[in-house]
Amino acid sequence: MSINHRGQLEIGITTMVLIVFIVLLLLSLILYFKFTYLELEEDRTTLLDQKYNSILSVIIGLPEFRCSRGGIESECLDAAKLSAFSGVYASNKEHYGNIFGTVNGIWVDVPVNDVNNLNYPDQGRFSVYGKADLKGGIYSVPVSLYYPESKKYKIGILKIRGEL
Amino acid sequence: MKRGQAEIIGLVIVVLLLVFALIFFVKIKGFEDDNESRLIRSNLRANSALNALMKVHIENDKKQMKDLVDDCITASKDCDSVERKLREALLYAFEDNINYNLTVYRGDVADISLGRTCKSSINASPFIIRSNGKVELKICT
Repeated sequence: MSINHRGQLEIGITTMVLIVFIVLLLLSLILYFKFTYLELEEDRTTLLDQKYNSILSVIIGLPEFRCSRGGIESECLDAAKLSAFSGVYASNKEHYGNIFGTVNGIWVDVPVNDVNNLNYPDQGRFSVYGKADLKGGIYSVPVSLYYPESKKYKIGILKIRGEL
Repeated sequence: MKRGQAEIIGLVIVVLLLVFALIFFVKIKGFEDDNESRLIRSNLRANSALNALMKVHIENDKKQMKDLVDDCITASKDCDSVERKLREALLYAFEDNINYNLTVYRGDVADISLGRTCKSSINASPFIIRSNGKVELKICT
């Protein structure tokens, strides 16, 4: 084999090595950015989840909703207070706007026989803020609901409609 | 084997090792973060759910769940009925994608166990029943 031909072969081999290397590098870069993107998405979901869960926690602790017997607060929400909250909210919109922030809707669902009943105490949904049927994800927590008239407890699901 | 081929194989091995190391790092990191955030979220949910489950009035609003559990523990009375009612309440309280385990203890012996066995979980503070019993709720992570 002449020197010229051997040189061409060497160049060919080097080119092949470079091409394979670049392809592998590109593949690994694509993989890296895909993972980074997925991680960012997960971080976003986690942060949103934490944000809305802290709002849920704040709502459960608000004296406007929390039930009490003889001045002693108990770990439950008062259904009568929830039912009457629309009036309180109407006269303090700015205050509650600051507390509830960017939430689209807050409500409490209760298992009842007639879901269309809107009259207290048999209503199936207590709307607290905004609207339930807007776009976004639902963040929820089971809560104990207390009905002071009958002195009975039910299980309610406190729900928030927020960003997804 | 020619020198060129050996170089290619060497490079391939190095790049593959780098890629695997990267995937491993990303997976491990993601898992740790996820666990931590789930812990915060599930604590609120577990404690609130157990509290709501034990306080709810059932049997035509005559008794609370904690009273029925107490009857079951002290007199072994209507334990099947208690189990059924607990199951119904749990189904309402939790979404389908949440796995949980609720256990009613008579002393140290598990009397009723509902849901799945969790590999790792967040525990609600145990609900103490008057008669040497307790109810524990775990939410699987």
